[in-house]
Amino acid sequence: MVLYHVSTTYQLLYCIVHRLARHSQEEAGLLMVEYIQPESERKAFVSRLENTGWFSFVRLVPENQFKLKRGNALTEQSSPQEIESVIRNVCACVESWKGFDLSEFSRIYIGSDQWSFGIYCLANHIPHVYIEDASGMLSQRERYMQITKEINLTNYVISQYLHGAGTSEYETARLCDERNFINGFTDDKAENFSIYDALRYEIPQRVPEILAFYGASPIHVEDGKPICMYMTQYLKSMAIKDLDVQEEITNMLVDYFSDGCRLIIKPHPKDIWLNYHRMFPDAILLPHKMNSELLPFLFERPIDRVLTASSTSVGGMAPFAHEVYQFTTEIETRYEHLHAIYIAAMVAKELARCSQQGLSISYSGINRTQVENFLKILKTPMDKDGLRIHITGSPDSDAPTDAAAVLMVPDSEQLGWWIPPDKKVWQIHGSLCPEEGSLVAEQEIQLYLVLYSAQLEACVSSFAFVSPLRYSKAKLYVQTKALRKEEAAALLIQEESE
Amino acid sequence: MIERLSVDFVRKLFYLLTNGNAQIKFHTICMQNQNREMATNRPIEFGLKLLAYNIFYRIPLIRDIPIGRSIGKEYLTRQYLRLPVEDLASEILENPAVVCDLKHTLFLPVLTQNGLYEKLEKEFRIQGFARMRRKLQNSCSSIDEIYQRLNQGLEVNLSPTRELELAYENLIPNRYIIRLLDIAAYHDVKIYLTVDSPYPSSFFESLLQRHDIAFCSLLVSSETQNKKREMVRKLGLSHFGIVSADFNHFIRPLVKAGGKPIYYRAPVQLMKDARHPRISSDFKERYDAVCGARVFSGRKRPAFSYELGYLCAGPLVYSLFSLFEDAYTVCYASRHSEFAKLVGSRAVCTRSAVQKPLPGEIQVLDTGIDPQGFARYLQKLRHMYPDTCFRVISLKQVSGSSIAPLTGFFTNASSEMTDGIRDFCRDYSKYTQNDPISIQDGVRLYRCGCENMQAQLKLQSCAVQLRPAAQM
Repeated sequence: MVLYHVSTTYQLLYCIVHRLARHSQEEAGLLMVEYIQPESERKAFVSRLENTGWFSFVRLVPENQFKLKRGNALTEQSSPQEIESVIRNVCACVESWKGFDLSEFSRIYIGSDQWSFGIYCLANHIPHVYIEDASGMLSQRERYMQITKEINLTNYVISQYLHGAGTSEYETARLCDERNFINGFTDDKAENFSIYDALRYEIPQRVPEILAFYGASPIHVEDGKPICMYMTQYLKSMAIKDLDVQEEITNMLVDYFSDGCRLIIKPHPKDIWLNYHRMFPDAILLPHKMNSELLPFLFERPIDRVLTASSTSVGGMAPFAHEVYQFTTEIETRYEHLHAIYIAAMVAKELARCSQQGLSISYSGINRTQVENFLKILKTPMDKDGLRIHITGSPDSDAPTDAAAVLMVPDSEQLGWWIPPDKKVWQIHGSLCPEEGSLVAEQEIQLYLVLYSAQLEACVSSFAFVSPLRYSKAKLYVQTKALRKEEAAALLIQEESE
Repeated sequence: MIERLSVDFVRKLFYLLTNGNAQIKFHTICMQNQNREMATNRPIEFGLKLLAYNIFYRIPLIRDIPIGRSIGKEYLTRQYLRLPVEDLASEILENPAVVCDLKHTLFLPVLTQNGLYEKLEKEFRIQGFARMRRKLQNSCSSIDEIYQRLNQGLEVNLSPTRELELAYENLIPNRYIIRLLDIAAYHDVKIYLTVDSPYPSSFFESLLQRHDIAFCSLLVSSETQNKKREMVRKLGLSHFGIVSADFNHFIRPLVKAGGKPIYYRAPVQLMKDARHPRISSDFKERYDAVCGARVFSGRKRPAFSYELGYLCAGPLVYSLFSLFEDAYTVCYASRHSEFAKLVGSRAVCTRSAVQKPLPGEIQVLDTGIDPQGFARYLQKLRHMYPDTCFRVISLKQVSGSSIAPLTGFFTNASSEMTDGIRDFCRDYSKYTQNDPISIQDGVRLYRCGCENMQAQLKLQSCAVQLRPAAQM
C-alpha cells in the first residue's frame, strides 16, 4: 500500500494520475491538508473522492486544530529551542491523530512537506518521496520558499530548519515534471512524472473518469480565430501584493499578445479576486476550480497560443499549444518596463523590414526573454547571419564591434553611456497615455538608437506609430527624432556639479 | 486555560469586546492586523489590550486625544492597518447581498459640504450663497427644488449645473472599496448602493460608470424621499453585509435588522484622529482628505519614509510652486529630477548655466543639494548675465531646518520618500484643481517630520553600505 499527502489541487491531480498510472495494482491512502478546499465544501469533496474508489481511505489533516496546539508562531528570529518545541508539538499532534503505522506503506509520497504530516516525517527521519508543488517548481526552490514564507511564516521557518522542500536527505526521490525545469537545473534524485504524458500515453482509458470527477466538460470554441489562453496566477504567490497591479499586468499582456485571437481566461484555482467578466467581457472564462493540466483533454483542437505572466501551470499546456509566451518573475516587479521592451521590438522589426534581412540580435543588461517574446509575437524575421543588432539596457556595456545598430533601452534616466562621437543618435520617444478609468499611470519612455550603417538611417527617420491598448485603456504614442549634436553630447555629459 | 473555554463563548466574548463603538471596532481590528499571531502567542496580553481599548475608547473627550498619533512623529500607517482587500473580501462573500454607502466609503469627498458651498460662493460672487445653501440642504429634496428656493431667497437665477460639476470633481474614488465591490460582483453578490443626497441618480450613475463599478441597484434619497437607512430597510433583505463608514447611523441600526457589519473608518477621519501642526483650516480640510485617501484608504501599505514624504515633505515642495507665479525662476535641481517633472513649465530646473536669453530679473531657488556647486553656478550666471538682477531664495532658510531629506527629489535619486513627495504633489493638484498651499503651512508640516525623515535617510544609507558586505 502507498500513501500520498497533498496540499494543493495540482498535487491532488498529480497524485490521482500517479496512483492510477504507477500503482494501479496496489492500494493507496490519501491525506489532504484541510485548506485544500473551503470549509463548507470539504465534506462533500472528500465523499466524492472516496466514491471514486481510487483511494482506500481519504483523510483531511486538521491543520487548524494542530495550529491551536502547536504553541507559538515562529519568525526568522526564533531560537532553535523555540523551533524544536513547535516541531515536537506538531509531531505529538500528528502522532495522536494519524491512527496508522507508517511502516505499513511501501512508499510514502509527500507534497508540501512544510505542513504537519511532512514535518512529522522529516523530524522522524522517515524516508519518503517528495512531490514538487507545481510543474517544474523543484527547479525554482528560492521562488517556492518565498511563496511559503508569504503564506505561512511558521511553516517556512520549520521547513528551513528541517531542510525540507526538496533538499532533505530522507527524500528517496523527488517526483517532478522535468520538462518544465528552468534551463540548466538538474537533480540526482529527480524522478520524472508528467500529468500530460501519463494521461496521454500511460492511462488514456482513465481520462474520462478523471474528467468526470472534476466535472470538466469539452470546451467548444467556434472556428475562425486562433485561440489564445491566458493562465492567471494566485496573487499571494506573486511578488506583487496588489490586485490593481495584477490587473494591470494581465491587461497589458492580453493587449500585446492576444491581438486577433479568441481569448480564453483560465483562472488559477485560488485566483478568485480579479473580476475577469468585467475585464474581458468577450472572453471565454473557464471555471477556476478545474486544473489547467486537464485542458489539453477538453479542447477539440490544439490551442494556438498560451500566455501567462509567470505561472508555472503553463508547463502543463506546453505540449498542447503551438506557442507559449511566458515571462520571468521580473515582470511582477518591473511590469511598467514592458512598454519600453515593446517599443524596442518594434524598432528591431522595422530595421528588419527596411533592410529586408533577418536579424541576429545580441543582448546585454536586458531581460532577453521579454524581448524575444515581443520579437516572436511581432513575427520579426531572425537569421543568425543576418543584420547584427545589439539591444542593451545597461549604459556601461560595450556593444559588439560588428553591430549595425545599437539600441539602448535604459531602465532609468542615467544616460552616461558611450556614443561614438561621429555617429548620429536617434531618440525614440514613447508616451503612454491612459484614458478615463485606466489603472495605467502616465509614462514617458526614451530609447536611443545608434546606427553604424548609413542605409539604415532612412528606416528610422520617420519611424512612428500609435498602439491602442484596449484592455489597459491607454494609447502608446511613439515617434523618433534624430538628436542634434549638442543634444547627443548632453546625453554623454553629466549635468554640471552632478 | 483559554483552550478549555468553549469556542462559542470565546467568540461571543470577542464580539462584545470588539464592537462597542466605531473607535473600538476600528482599533481592535487594526491591533489584530498588526500581529495576526498575537492572540495565539500572547493571549493574556491580547485580552488585556482588548479590555484597555474598551475602556479608553468609551470615555468621551479622552478617547479623542491623539496619543501616539502625531503626523510626522509616528508611523501612522502601521497603526491604521487595514486588512488587504482580498482578505476583507471573504467577509463580503459570506452574504448573498451587500449594501454600501457611497459617501466617505466608495467615494471620498475632498471638501466638506460647507467647504463646497463656500467655494461656490467665491466663484459666483454672491454674498450669503453658502449660508443659504446650507440652510436649504435637504437630502430628501431634489437639487432643482433646492436651487428654486435658493434663487427665490437670494433673488438670483442660478442653475445647479456648476454645483454638480464641482461636486463631481470633489469626489476621490476609493480604490480599496471599489476593489472590494468588484470582488463581490465577480461572485454574484448583489450590490445595493445608497446615498443621502439631493443630487439625481444620473449624477452618481455617471460616477459609477466612470470607475467601472457594477451594482444591482442605486438608492438615492432625493428620489425615494427616504434616508439611506430606510431605503435599505425597505429592500427587505434578511442576510446582507453592510459596508460603511457611518457606524452609528447606518451600520448599527442595520445590524439590528440582520446585516453583517463591515465597518470602514473613513480615511479623512483617520487624519482627523491624528495630531497636526498648526495649519490653516482651509488647507487642513483639503490636506486631510487628500492624504487620507492616498495613505490610509487601505489601498497601499506604504513604508514610513513614503508616509513622511507624502504627509510632510510633499506639502513643502508643493508650496514652492506659489513662488514661481510672479517671477521667472530657475531652480538649482537636476533637469531629470522628479521635481523638474512636476514643475513643468512653471520654472526652469537645471544645474548647468547655459547661455540663453533671460529676463532682466531672475529668481533663483537654491535647493541646498550642493552648496559649493550652487555657489559656482550662481557665480557663472552672474558672469554670463552681468545686467540681470538675481534674487536668491534659499530653501534651507525658508524651511528653517535641514533639507537633506529633499535631496533625492531635486537630484535624480529614487526612493520611497521621493515617491511620496511626488504622489502628494500630483494628488493635491488633481483633487483640489491646483489650489495653492502657503509656504507657512508647508514648512510647518515639513518640520514635524524632519527628524524622522533624517532618521529614515540614515537607515537607507546604512542599508546601502551594508548591502555589498552582505552580498560578499
